[in-house]
Amino acid sequence: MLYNDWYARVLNYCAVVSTAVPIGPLGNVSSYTDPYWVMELPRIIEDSENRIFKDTDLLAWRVTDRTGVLVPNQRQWALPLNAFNQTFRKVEQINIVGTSSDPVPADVRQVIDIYSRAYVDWAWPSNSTYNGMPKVAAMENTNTVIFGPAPDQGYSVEVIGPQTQQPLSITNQGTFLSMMLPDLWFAATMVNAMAFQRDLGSMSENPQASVNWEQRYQNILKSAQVEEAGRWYRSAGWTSQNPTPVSTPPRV
Amino acid sequence: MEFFGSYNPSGTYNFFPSSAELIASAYARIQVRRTEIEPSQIADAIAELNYFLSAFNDAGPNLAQVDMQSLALETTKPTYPLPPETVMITDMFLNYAAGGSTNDAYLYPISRTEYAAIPNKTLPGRPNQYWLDRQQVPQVTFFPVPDGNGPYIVKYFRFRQVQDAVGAFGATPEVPNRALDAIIAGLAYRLARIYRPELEDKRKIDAGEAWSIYAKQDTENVPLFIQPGLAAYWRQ
Repeated sequence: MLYNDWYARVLNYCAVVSTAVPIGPLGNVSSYTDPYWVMELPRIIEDSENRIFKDTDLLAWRVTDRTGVLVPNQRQWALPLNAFNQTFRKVEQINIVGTSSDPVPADVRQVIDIYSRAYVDWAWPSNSTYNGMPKVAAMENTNTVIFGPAPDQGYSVEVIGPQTQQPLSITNQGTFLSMMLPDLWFAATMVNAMAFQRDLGSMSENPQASVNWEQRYQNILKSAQVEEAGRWYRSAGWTSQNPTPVSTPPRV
Repeated sequence: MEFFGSYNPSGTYNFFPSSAELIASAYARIQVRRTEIEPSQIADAIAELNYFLSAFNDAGPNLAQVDMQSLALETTKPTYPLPPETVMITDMFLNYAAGGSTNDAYLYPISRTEYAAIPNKTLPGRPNQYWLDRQQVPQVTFFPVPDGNGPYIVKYFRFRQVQDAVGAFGATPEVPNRALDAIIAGLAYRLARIYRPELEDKRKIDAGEAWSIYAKQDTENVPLFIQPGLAAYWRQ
């Protein structure tokens, strides 16, 4: 589902007229040129994308960033940002990647063990003593990693983890969510769109609207989570296959 | 399944964990994961590791900590301090000049009581016995007291303490590769006492097995001869 299709569909489902003239009693809804609606639209997209990411742990948002370079004698290191100024939502793996001048051969990865901050501070307490190729690391905060030992040279770093991707917009017509999980995506956005229409609470004009979309979202989410587990090879028997409850014998 | 298809060992013998890595491994054996290790757990672990190394010393001799020392004796001086890390003397001999060459004479250890029973402790001569007094700084006393016919050089094999375990900067425990599993298993058992008492019994069994293997291996592979001392019997 491309952005334009999604947008038209949202307007239809919200009964937003495609004129600039608000109508009553849905006048609160506004038209698609209403500045409040236009202002809210990116928030609806952002909230929905975030929600689906947290509910499904999308493999599609995994990024391998090899732009990082450590600073000699500096154990703290800021995680790289992507083109949208987003850093990693969480760090899942860090590799030191050898270059021709490194102790490890070129293009060879040295996987960094992730420890607690206390452990790294204790085992490798200095920026300038016993420097070398880092072996361990700990998260200092959401944006900074501490390595031990502190690097003795500018090692290349590879960071793997999920990053927030460029959101759906008129200039970015298709995202993984809109193209691969369009049903889930649409349900998530409709929950937020209904909320914007003041249909989220019991005193609202259409109190069931948002609830219904939420139920629909939850139902679709279950199947989406199964499919996502397959992408990770974490589905039935740690394969990519969907569970087969009627097969005998079942997968392990 | 496809296999690489050829014999391809690493060709290296460099595996040796630092004390910090060893502690992390010990914690892993009691299900304390790397990212949950807290400062107090680190303090307990390094303390327990050093306590264990103290017990390791007591269970010696550990062959990796056996070395040879020498001591120049002084005329009329019976007692000498030894390096404080000395745990025990295994063998001692006296190097002395005789007939234009040097000879070695084995020195026999005696107990405090046997030393006390010597009626004239200042008798000069070429030493042939020693008493090791195991104080905080151990000291050795020779009998007879060195006379003026030296020089006498005492050489001795001793086993000493394992060096302190410290966590920072990749320092390793001063034990050989054959002792690693015994050290990790023993430390895991000790940490289980503190942090996973429900695993203490299991880790105690692990530690016992690992220690048994190490103790069996940490020996010199030579025949053991036992024979009665009949010469003295027949002389009588």
